[in-house]
Amino acid sequence: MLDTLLKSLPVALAATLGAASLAQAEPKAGGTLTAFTSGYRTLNAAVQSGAATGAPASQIFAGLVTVGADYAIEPYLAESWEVSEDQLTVTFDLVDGATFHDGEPITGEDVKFSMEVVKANHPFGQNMFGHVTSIETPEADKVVLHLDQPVPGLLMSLQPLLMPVLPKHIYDDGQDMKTHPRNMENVIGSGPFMVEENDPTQRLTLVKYDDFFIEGRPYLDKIVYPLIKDPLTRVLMLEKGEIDYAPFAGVRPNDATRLEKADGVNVTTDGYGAIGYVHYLELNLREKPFSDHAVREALAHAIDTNFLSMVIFGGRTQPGTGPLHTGNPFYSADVPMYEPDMEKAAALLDEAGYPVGDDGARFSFVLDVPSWAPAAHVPMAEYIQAQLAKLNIAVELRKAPDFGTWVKRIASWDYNATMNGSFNYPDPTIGVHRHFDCENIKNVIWSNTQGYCNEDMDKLLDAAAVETDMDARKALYADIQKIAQEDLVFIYMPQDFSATVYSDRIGNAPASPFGALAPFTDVYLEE
Amino acid sequence: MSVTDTTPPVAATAGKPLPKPVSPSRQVWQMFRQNHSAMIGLFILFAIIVISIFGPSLYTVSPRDMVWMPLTPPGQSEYLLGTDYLGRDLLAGLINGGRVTITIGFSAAVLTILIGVTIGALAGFFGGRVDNVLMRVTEFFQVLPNLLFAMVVVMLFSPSLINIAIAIGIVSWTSTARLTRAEFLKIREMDYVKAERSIGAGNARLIWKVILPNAAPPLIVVAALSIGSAILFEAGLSFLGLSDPNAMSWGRMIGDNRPYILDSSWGVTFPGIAIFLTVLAISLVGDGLNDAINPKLRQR
Repeated sequence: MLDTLLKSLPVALAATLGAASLAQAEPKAGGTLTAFTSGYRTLNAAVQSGAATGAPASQIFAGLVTVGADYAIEPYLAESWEVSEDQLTVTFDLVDGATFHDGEPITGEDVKFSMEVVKANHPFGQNMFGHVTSIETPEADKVVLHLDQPVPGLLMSLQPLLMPVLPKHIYDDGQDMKTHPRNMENVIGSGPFMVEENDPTQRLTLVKYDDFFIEGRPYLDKIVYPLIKDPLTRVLMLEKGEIDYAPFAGVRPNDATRLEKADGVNVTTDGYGAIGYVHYLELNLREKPFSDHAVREALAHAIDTNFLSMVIFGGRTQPGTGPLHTGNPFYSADVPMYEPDMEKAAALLDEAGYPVGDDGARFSFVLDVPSWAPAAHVPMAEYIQAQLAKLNIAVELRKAPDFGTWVKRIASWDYNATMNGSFNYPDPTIGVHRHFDCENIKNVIWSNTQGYCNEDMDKLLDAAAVETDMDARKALYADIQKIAQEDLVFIYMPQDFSATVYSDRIGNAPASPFGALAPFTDVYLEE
Repeated sequence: MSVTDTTPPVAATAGKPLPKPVSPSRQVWQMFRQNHSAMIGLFILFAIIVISIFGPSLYTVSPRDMVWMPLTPPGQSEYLLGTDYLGRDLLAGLINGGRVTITIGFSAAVLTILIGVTIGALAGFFGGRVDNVLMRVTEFFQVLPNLLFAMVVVMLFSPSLINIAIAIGIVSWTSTARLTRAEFLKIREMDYVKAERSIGAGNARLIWKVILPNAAPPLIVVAALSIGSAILFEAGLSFLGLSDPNAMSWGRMIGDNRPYILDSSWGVTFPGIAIFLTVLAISLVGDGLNDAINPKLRQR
């Protein structure tokens, strides 16, 4: 907040203002911050992506580095690191005296173990650390990574959200990491806060870890995440100031207008650039009719992402043009778009062999609607149902009662089509490649579940993953975005209306590109 | 039970010489007709059913089409009652939603009666161990929290119209079963039942042909009222987000528009009024029937 203010003001004014606000706003220790959760299955971000797990997990577990403003990599558990000239060896020095919440020291062995766990279990572990061929720990506080090719996004992947440092002495017992009991019970972490109470049906309470490796941090005593599933309840609680900090608030654009007017409440859409939350219609490409490109093209002509963003979301979201979020450094708007044209869509379907049948329908399919982003997905799905009805395509909506039901259907590829959304993460190798890579067709949610495989695309992805020259890399991603739209791997919906709602009491609100998914070491409460 | 405080006067034909014998159903109708609130209820119900059946072909705006800017208040466009969060016509939604709502209410009520009467009749007629077992089953269903149990059923088997009707039926049959059992316990000891048994009537005949018709009057009233409560139940489930996403019902309109209630009160108000009127009408008719059918009230 302060950062953006400073940038927008003349330098001289900024200096005085900055000095003034610094003088009066000395960070204070203590206090309880109330956030919220919409429900989570695990607290271990090494085996589960997404904000529901990520927001608390980034507090419970530390990573090797953090990401500051402007994507600057800052030391965290690693106090320094060295990259060899050929960019194939990276050596990390760990902070002295860092301990897990049970008092055991954090060593290089733990880091090595964690990276192996992430590589094997995280939905995009392979994308992040696939090129790490070996990990050595010559000394207790040293970790050496050996790569088989340069990985430009490597350091970005080492922050707590994507590579939490787990206690090897607890998890290395041969049990499956994804279902390990310690992911939810008696969780021992390495971060600034430890779990005091974890009742997923009620609330999650984190308390300050007194022996945290950064002296005098964190400022907060406690973070409470009450379970609030109902968006309307959330809006009312935010309006009354009962929630201090609500990242991924899940509020609708019209609620934001309302909250902006409330006393002591701020709404910002900053802090989501790195996350890059995009929504799309995912079609199961293995089966007819969606294996047929002409059908997907017809759908693209019938579904108007502009109309959705301007009318349904009140112009507060950007229309989707491809896999990358407009806030991503590699975003390119130069992609084929399919102008809204119902007649053309109908003609395409006729040609492709889907005439209107005797029952009055060309074909029918079930459209799954997940439960985790109703503010975005329900209007989108109902819009799609209405638009496709005009083309005589019968769409049956199937609302998932909970996260698990939906994950099971999609991850086992047992679906026709689903509303979906995912995060770019700052480097496209992390959040984007996973959906397009032929090798990532897996029974894992948010992998290449739709079953897309194109050799040209694969070559471009491989090239972009190792290209260290920024401009050359941009050019590669421009081509990737083009092919994604040409092949219509997904039909893109408007980007998410991601907003953080926070109270005036919060000092040092997380403002990095990772926003709310960064550790709250510096956050404090005024009063 | 009755909302009327005036007891309907006895039929005026009583004092005249050689009165024509009046058939029971005609007698009920005469009593019913004199009950003003019941007649108002019947009129409202009739109007709602007519609109639900013929409305969609007269007012041809599709309830699914986006016709105007989202969240337009009533009276600010050609769409009388305004629009919802997708810009769909609320009036079209109301007219089309009636069919689904009444169908769910009716089918859930049929199921309620079917289960309730069967169990109650068997328990009341056979008594003894059968009664014991069936009544324990009934009690089991009685102590389950209705709404919660229905939610679980709907969530487990996906929220389709059929599942919602079944869920409502499953949780609401217990009082019907108890009522039926009580009637059967009373009637099975009557002389005419004994007489019928003595000339060799089997159990099935006794249950369905002899006792049930005589136990029918209170059951008819319960059946009518349970349509109303089933409609309310459906609205309650929808309010909690458990509605068939592929069928427009009033309850679903309330559930869908609820997140926008702070900005568009009309989105939930109009379907709410529609449900209120329907349930009120059904209650009035049910009470009227109760007054007209109940022989004790008739003798007064």
